[in-house]
Amino acid sequence: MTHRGRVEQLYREWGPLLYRRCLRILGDGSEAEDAVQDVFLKFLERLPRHHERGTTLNLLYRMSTNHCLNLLRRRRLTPGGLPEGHEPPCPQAGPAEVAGRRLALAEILDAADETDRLILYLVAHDGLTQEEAAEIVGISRRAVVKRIAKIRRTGPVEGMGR
Amino acid sequence: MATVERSPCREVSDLTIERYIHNVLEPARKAEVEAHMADCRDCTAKLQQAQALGEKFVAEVLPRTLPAPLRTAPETVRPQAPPSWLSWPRLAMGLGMAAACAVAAVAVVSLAERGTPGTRPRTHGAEGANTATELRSDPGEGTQLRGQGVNEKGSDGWRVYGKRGSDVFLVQPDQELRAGDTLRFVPDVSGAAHLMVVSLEAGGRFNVYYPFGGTRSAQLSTPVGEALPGSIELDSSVGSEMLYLLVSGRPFDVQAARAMIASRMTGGGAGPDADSGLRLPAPDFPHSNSDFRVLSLPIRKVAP
Repeated sequence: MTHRGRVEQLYREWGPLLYRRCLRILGDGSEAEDAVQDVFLKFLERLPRHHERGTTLNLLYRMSTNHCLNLLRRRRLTPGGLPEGHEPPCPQAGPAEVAGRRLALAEILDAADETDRLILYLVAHDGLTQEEAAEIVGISRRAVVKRIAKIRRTGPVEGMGR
Repeated sequence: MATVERSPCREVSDLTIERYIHNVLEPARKAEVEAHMADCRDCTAKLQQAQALGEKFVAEVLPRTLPAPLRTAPETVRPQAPPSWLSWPRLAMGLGMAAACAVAAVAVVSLAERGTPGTRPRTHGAEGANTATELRSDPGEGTQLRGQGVNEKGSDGWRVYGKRGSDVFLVQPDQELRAGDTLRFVPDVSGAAHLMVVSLEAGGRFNVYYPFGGTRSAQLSTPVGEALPGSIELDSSVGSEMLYLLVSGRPFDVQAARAMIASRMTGGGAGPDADSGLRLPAPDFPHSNSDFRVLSLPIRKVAP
């Protein structure tokens, strides 16, 4: 397969994941498309010659989450809250939950350390287990637990229990 | 009558949905997920929504966002992410404010510096992507061109991206650009740096592109490899133009920038500026021998 064909194949295979992830976090289709391209190009720069699909999925999940959180952090308009309409449509979520998630996200974006932000988002916002978060972040579960304990010492964040 | 809000089921996370779709779940976990979904409308809806978004991506988004450089770049080129054009409006200076700054700059600077007739700041864009060469400076030898994304430790670099319609491309040396094309500047400069993007046209007009119409350098506030705020739209004037990124460890003003560029034009016409074919004006101000690093990129503005 040619280089171009390989790239297109990768984009076709993983683009949907990136799109869903970026849209979920950014809540805007156009911004999500931009973010997908940015993350995909970064991914190509570090693409290993041999890779296992589960590992690639974890890597892309981490890269897209980090990228979008960084975008949100820079674009945050007001301290303590994100702009209305930020949250993507979620027919299952009631207004109280959407508001709660927005608040939690504001706290998450306040975390100074990128890895802390990622862990916070994955666990408190996405509802991942610590084990799953560790797989995505690429560190041990023990390290995740330690980081969560450190975050708790500086301020409680809901949803960090599992 | 009060209503009770029902929280949606969160048993199956987004990550699990992705793993399920990509078939990388352990068999036991996959069976659990399927058993749960058989009884859970929330999680089934979530899966269906994810699949629908995936189909939308393939049908609508992929055809227009498959990055152009990946269709055209040589096999050996590793692409570099272009600036995120759609995000510009949030970062860019508004046109009205930019124009006001340009007027102020003209009033303050009595030389030939122009806020930028010939260009104006832009605040919008569209999707697209590209890659190609980038410029690198070597402090010992002045500006040099180094090809294809080489990122040498300890050196500064920058990329200039152009946008025409929905096409985004990395501007190559001596590339022909037209009225209406917009430019963004991506410095790859490490450490605390003060910078200014300026241009010198063949007719001698000096433009300050970043900070647009400004009289003093701006401290680098964007992460390495990210685009500077705002963009420049080229007007209908034609001719050669040299773009410069000036970097210094200390703040500097536009006069110092002019002096630095002028110093590069002297010395018998040798140097990269002479190679560009530009006829640059003789300096009429004191030479400033500071700690500038200068990177340049010649372009040619042509009629549409």
